[in-house]
Amino acid sequence: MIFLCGALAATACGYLIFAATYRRAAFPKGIAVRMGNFRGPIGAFLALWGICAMLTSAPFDNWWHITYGLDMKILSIPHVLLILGLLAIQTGGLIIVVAHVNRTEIDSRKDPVPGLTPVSKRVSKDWIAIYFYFGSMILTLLMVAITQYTTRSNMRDTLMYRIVALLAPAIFAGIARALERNWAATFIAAGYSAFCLLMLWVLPLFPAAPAIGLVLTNVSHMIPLEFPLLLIVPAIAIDLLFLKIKHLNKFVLSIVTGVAFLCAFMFVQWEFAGFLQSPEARNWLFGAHYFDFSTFPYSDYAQHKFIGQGTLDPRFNFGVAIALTCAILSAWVGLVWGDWMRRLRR
Amino acid sequence: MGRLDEAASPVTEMFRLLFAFGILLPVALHAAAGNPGEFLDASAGPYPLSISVKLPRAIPGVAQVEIRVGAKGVTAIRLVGTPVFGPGAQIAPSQEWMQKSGNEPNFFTGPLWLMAAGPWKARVIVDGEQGQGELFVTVPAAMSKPMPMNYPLAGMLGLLGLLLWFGLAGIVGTSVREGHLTSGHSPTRANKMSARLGMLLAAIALGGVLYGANLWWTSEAEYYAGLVYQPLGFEVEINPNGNLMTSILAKDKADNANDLIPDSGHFMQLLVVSVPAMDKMWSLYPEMQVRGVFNMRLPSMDAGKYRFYGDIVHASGFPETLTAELDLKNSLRGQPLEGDDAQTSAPPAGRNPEPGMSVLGEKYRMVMVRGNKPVKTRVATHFTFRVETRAGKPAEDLELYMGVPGQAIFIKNDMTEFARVNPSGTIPMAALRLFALPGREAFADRTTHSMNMGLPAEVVFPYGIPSPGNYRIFVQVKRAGKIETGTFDIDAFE
Repeated sequence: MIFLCGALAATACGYLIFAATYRRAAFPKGIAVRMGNFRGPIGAFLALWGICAMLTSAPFDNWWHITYGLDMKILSIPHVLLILGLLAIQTGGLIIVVAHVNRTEIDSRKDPVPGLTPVSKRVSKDWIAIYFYFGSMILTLLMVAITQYTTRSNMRDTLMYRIVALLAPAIFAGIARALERNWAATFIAAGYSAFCLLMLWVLPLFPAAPAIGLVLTNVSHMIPLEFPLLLIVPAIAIDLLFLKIKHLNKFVLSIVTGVAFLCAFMFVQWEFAGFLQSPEARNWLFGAHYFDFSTFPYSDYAQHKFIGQGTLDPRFNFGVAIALTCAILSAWVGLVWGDWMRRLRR
Repeated sequence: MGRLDEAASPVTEMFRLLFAFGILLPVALHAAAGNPGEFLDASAGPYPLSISVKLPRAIPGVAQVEIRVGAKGVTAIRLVGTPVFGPGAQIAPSQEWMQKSGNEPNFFTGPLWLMAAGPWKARVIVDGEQGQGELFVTVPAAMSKPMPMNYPLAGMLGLLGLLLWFGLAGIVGTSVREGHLTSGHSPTRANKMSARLGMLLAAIALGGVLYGANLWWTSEAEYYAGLVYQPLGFEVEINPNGNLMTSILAKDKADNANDLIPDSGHFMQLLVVSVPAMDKMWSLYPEMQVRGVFNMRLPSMDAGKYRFYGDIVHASGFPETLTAELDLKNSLRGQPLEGDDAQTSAPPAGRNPEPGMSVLGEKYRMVMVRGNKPVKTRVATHFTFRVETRAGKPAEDLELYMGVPGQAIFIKNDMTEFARVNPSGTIPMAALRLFALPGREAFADRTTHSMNMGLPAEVVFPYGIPSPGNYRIFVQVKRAGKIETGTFDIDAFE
């Protein structure tokens, strides 16, 4: 299924590059860049690069399995290459949309008809919906990639906050910065949450049984991912901040954004984790009673216990400081990325 | 380090004697666990099966199971794999339906998922016109030493990696050069300079990413290397009186030699073979003195190099072959063989004038029925040996040897492969009995006889040669109260 998506992207982007290269007369002006002997939108080239990365990961992963065994984790070297490929495809799609929006909305202001007042055009809502869709899928992909660090049992360990802080602020800040649309971060966090909730509520409806051995927990239906991280809260916080202070110096803005992200996320997720580990969360709505077949029944996870010592951990303050640094750096990267996308035309 | 006779108490004396008479070093082994495949002839109820299990090199991994049914009317075969012990042993996964061959209706193939190292058991359920039959097959799941990537794959991945590297650097450069240009504008000289700088920085950054990935890979490889199956250590010592002492050395406190079970009545089946010629072989069965320590009085042996293969079976059914090598400096005067012990001499491996036939005393001979035609590797093959008179009349006085009609030992000439095979296959009888269904020793139906006398003159061993090369085969049977050993040579090709 993953590679089918890659094939769809390859077809679409391949067509764009083919048309821009060999049918230049019919292809719209000012959309393509030159890459060697080929022409096309940057996003199409980036997506094609992603497909190449995916294709490279396939034989590499096969060799990895034969040599080191069938890894039961998401983060292995070939899998990371696959994830990078998927990320490149999604980012390619995103920047194709961004370039179109920039050409339509910004350039129209700069090139008015002589004698008339500039009229700013707006792209249709469909383009913005696609933009938010790509943003939410990028966020979802990254959050799924780090699932092994974000289980319920990890939610009172600063490692989880360090890793999430390294990734999420960049996406929120970048997506919110690139287009002049309010509540962008909230939309993409909502997209991520909706996707996870849909899986959480729908997958258990399908009966299933483990097909391979080492079954440690009886399973009678499909097991979804956990309840989504409450990224919607820091996303709202970032959007509110951007409404007021987005014109601040980038360095200052990244500090404010990083601090806001970590404070909001850590506070709500830390508290919510307590609820998720309680009996009240063991129902279809929150899904804290679902365990996959490889869950050891006496593990902390299956026993609804947290790993680590929470705030009593002697390295807690250090861990939070690292998480804060990660969030600020991530926000800065996101702002740089967003600024780059704001200038993008092709 | 070693146990010597009491007279040799000073340490220096001990070392002198040890070197004089030889002391073994543990060497790399090719254990029963770690072999590339298993072969078994057994019955699931009314259905005789010939089973081959191709084991994966890495665990977790997928073993490929092939079953050829020796009866008609089989409609389906299902497989269920579970660990022998541990938490995963209690809950079985869903049954795997084996695929029926389109060309050969009695041939089935299917995967067996081995998701953890250690002993596994596969339940084989056969459905057919004669009802349902089932049996259990023990499967040792062990991680092998990772193989380096082959050159074609490494070359292809290297090229793709370069494409990705330069491709991404190129995309960065292009986007810096033209990405922000509005319609009708061309990149300026400054744009082009910036693009080159961007490409350079991107290439350097990607180099850093690759360096980090390499560190990660190295760390992962070290982790997996720690998971590679390591057999129990094995030391063999011979004192001047001809006493052999073998010791199984535990890897750690939790994994020791305390759980051995007897296989064919012996806790250790020891094979001693002269190397590299393999022209002398002893099949010995030392007594276990204390846990993990075996000893016995050796027969007479000439000075020379010898390799020792000790086969043991753990209580879980997990078999191991322990190996060690000895350089015996002086010849040894020992005592005559007794019990199940046996020995043979033969022309050196590779210089056997009659590789498909072996003379047994003055009146008998043993013949490899297929001749010494080369055999294909990793394919289940039934090696049939017939004991007959010099005139070609089948022997009528074969007896059971350690409860079975015979045993065959396959050793590759370069010593990299070893297998002890009984007429049921490569799985030790002790492991098979662990999971035999009550009242039905499925494996025994076709291989053993309740009466000691009157066995057929032919003994069949199912086995698949694991890798190409020249192999020596020692076949042992018991005839008229005497253990006879035939020696054969065979070539195997890919």
